Amino acid sequence: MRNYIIGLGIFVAAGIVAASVVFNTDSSKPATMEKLRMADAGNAVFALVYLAESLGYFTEEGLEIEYDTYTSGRDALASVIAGKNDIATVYETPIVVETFNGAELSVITELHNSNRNTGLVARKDRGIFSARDLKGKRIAVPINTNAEFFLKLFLTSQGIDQSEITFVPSKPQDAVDALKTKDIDAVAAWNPNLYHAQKAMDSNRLVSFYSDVYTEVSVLALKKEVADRRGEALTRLLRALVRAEVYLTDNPDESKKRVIKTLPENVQKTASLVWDSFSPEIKLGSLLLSVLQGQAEWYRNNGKFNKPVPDFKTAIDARFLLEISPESVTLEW
Amino acid sequence: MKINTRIILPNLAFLLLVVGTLLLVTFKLYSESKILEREALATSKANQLTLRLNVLHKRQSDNILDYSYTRNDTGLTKGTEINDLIESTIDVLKETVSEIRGARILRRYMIANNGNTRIGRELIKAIRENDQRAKRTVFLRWGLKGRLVNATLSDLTAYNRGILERTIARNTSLTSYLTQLTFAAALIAIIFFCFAFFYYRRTIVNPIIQFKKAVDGIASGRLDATVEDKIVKVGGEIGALASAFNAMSMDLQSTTVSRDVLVNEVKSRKFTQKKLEQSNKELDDFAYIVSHDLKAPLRAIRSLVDIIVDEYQKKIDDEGTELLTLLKNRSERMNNLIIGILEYSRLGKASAKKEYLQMDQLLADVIESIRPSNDFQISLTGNMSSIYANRIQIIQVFQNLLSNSIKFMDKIPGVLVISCEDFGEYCQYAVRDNGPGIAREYFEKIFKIFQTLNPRDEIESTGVGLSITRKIVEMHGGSIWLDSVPGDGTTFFVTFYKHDHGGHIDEH
Repeated sequence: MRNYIIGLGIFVAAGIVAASVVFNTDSSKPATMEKLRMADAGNAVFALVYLAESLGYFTEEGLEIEYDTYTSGRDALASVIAGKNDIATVYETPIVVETFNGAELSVITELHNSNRNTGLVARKDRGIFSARDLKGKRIAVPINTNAEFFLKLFLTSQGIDQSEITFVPSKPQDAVDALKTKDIDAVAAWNPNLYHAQKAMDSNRLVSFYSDVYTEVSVLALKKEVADRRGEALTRLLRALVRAEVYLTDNPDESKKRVIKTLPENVQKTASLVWDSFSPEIKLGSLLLSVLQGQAEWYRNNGKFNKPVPDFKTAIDARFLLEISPESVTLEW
Repeated sequence: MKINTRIILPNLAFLLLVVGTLLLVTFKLYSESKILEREALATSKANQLTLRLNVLHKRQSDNILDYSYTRNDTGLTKGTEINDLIESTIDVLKETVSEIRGARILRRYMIANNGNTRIGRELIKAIRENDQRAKRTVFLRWGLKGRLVNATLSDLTAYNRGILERTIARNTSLTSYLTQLTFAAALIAIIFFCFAFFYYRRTIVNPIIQFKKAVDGIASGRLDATVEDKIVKVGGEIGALASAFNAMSMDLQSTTVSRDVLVNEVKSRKFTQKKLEQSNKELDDFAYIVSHDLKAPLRAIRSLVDIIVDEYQKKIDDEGTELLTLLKNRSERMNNLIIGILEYSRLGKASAKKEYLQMDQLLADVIESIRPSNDFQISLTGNMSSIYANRIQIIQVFQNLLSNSIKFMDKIPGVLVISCEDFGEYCQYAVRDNGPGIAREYFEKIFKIFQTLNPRDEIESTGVGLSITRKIVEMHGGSIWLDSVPGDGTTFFVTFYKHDHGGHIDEH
């Protein structure tokens, strides 16, 4: 019996050794918390960030995020470039602009894409019923944002020269007020500001324009040198976001409620109405590269930047997402 | 644990381990190769379709550009066909995409393609109407949309290739995993083999070696050889065998001790017997020499008495004559005693030739030789059988027994009956009389030489007859004893072997 027990013991020990060899997986949880300062533009399109926070995925992955809220991705990215924050939620246009300006950025993931989240709202009482009627009008637009790019692209695609329009720089959140003034005939903005503008006046008095050739993309971007330093934090961040994406796919209604709950109060009211106008998704694809490259070429062709178009392949940093979710990377180098 | 179980269990476990691992590896490889095959086919098909879409979009662009330069409608007709081909290709492509991420990319492509088709129609219209402004703006949109179409197609291609790469990577990983598994199984098998080796050595081989040593020990005379207790503790048949072996060894040891005691006893007895035989021989020699040497002076004394009686009778008074007569009688008795001693001592000296004796005839001859008076009735009862003995000595035995009965008979008629009982190896003869009987306390005394129960002046006896009788019987390996009731008679029992036999017959 004793021999039998010894034999059994050796057999079990051998089994454990073999199992440890075969099933050698790293199941250890992070021992220390990583911190990230995130400059957030406070928009429903960054839903996956808010959902991951709401579900506690960041904490579970050993990441503590300190949010610094801005009214535009442009300002959020500026804070990152200034070193105030580590990473920013931002649309594609500020990335193109800042890269032209010499910033070395790393885009580690897309957060959403949409064709109908940025648009133009114009007053009919100013004689604007079609795109051609925009000639000679004053249009309020936040400069160096995707709204500006959208507007200029839209105008060009409609055969309207930029010189025929008066561009009035404005803050994104001032779109509604700007449209009510005598000086402004139309505003270019993104949701929820676009929606607010549409709702501020009688819809019969307004006409909305969208571009069928513009695609907006939001991303998580940071300075390249920070990306090189904070690999562990970024890996944890992406891991939590991928988990949030899975949760969103499996529980769309619950996710929507959770995201809206985390947004600022003024945004909450409109978020549910614009929810279906964008697709939250963690990925890095050719579409992003095409959008960035296309915008940069357009800007250069239109004389905004008199310098060569940057190679945005260097700005797209796929190493972290490839480690977490390789199937989310469809970018071809 | 039984040897069967001891052997079968480890080997069964080993077999299960190896077979289980092989089955697992085979199953995993088979199922994974099926998945790889399926995904490779799907990816290959999807890539063919995306490649085809790329080609179709390029031809679409070429047709529109051609139309813008040549205004040749043939290209436009082809453009419509190409649109249909793109739509049908997309329909097939939909069937290859099952995963949600792929479906999203495909949806983005389809949206971009729809926009591209719509803008393409606008462009054709602008070209047909030769609206330069519209041509310029629509061309711009068409170009931008074309980039989106290409980008989404590129995403779709990369996605499909990624699936294939990951499947291959998973397959590689699985191969590595299965290799590790196989190595792990081999490691376990080696450990198991080592364990089984030591286990069998400890529980089967070592005990057998121990058994061999113990058996060799016993064979070489070391009868206290046993196997160790740890072999007993092994249990099962081997443990039971070890216990039995040790028990046997202990029994053998105790038996051997008894045997040694017996051997020593036999040796001691043989030594004593030899000494006794030596003493007896010396005694016989002494008796023979003394009796032989005494006979001559005794004869001289008797001759002198005869001379005195013959030549001085007149000078000797009656009392002197009576004393001389008494002296003569006593010399005669002494002579008889010396003859008896000589006879007794001679028995041990001469080798007596033995033969098969028909006792009916022999006893009849003995009775005839005694010739008793009519006051005696001597008879044989039943078959007297035959024995293997010396004729003269057997005759002497029965003559002595019958003579004693006759000599001491106190009844008329004196009845003597000889009977025989056959016990297979030997015969037991009984000589029964109805004489005065002998008290039990004299049963042994009567066999001693010169011992008589009656004064010699009453019944003349040397006291040698029964001693000689017993000596003859014992020299033949037989026994003699008696049973008697004073006043009713006496029965003497003697036993003799029926065939040549060196042993001794115990008394009943």
